Amino acid sequence: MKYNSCFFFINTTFILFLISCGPNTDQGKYKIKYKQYVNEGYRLYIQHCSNCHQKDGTGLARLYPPLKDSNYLMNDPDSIICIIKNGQKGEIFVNNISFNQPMPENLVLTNLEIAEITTFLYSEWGETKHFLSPQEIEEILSLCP
Amino acid sequence: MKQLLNYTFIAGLLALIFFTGCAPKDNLEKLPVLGRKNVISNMDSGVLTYDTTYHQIADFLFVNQDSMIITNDSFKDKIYVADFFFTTCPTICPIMKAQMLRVYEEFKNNDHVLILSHTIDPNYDTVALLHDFADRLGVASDKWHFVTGLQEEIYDIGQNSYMVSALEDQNVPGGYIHSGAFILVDKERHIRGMYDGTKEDQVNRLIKDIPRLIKEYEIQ
Repeated sequence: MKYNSCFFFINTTFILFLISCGPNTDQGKYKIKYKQYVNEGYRLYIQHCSNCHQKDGTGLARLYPPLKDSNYLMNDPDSIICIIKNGQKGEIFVNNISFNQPMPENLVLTNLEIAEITTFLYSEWGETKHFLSPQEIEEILSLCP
Repeated sequence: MKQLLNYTFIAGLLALIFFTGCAPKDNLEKLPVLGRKNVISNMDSGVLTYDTTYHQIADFLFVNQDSMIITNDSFKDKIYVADFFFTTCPTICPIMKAQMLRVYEEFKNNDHVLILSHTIDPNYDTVALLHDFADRLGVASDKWHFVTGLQEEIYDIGQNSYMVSALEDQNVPGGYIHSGAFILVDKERHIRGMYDGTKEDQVNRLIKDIPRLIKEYEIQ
C-alpha cells in the first residue's frame, strides 16, 4: 500500500481530535465530572429537597419558595449553600414574595453532597454551568452568617 | 328463512344480555364503609331482624385558624376529607399539603365538600400560626379548616376515630411519627375511604371517589 500525504493528513487530524476531545483529556475529564455531579445532585435533590421545593423546583404557594426562576439562585448563587447546610429561619423575600416557613438544616450532608446538589441546581435553574468542588463549599460554609 | 330470523333474534337477545351485563358499574357502585361494624340481632314479635351499626367519627370540639369553634356540626350535611399534620414537619407533610391542595382546588366550588386538617403539635401550631400557614397556602378557611386543640383529644380521635396513628418520637426528623393518610368521611360520620396522601395516584382515586359519594346522596 502506498502511503500518500493525504493519508497522513487524515490520520494526524484524527489522532489530534482524539487527543483534544477524548475522555482522557482535561476537558474530557471535566465534562464527565460535571455530569457526574449533576446526576448525583439531582438524586440528592429528589431525596432531600423535592418534598418541599417540588420536583420541578416551583415550590408550594407562599409556603415553600421556588428555586426555578428565583432571584436567589440568579443573583446570589453562593447564598444557597449556607441555606442548604444550616437551614433558614425568619422571613425572606424571594422574587418579592414573603416566605416565613422555617427550613430544617441538613447537617448530615457532606461537602461533596452539597457541591453536587449546588452543581445540579445551577445547571438546572441557575445561570452558571460550572461545578463547585467540596473545597470551595467548605470555604463558603466557613463564612456563613 | 324463518330459521334465519329465529337465529338472528336469539343472537340479538344474547348480545343485549351480554352488553348490559358487562357495562362498567363502578360509577353506580357505592363506596365501602370502613371500620368495625356491629351487627345486633333483634327478636321482635317472633321476627328476627339485624341492625348494623358502623364505625363512626366520635364527637369533637376544636378551634380553627380563624379562632372558630369547630365541631361535628360544622360538617353537618357535608362530606369531608381529614388528615393529621404539623407545620414544621419536614418529611411527609409538605407532600400531603401539596396533594390536599389538589383536592381543595378540585372541589373548592363544590358546597358538598370540606377539608379538615388537625395539627398533632398543638403546642407549636397555635391558631395564629395555623392562620398564617393556611393564608400562605392560599386557601379559604371556611373550606379548609386547620384545627388545633388538646393534644390528647387530637391523638385520641386520630387513633380511635380516624384510625391513623400519631406519636411523639425523638428519633425521627420533626419529632413526630405519623400517618400520611387522607380519610374520606360521609354525612353520617362513616369512613368511606382511606388514601395515602403522599401518593399522587391514591389522591387521584380520592378525587374520583368524592363525586361518587356525593352521587349516593342524590340517588336517595
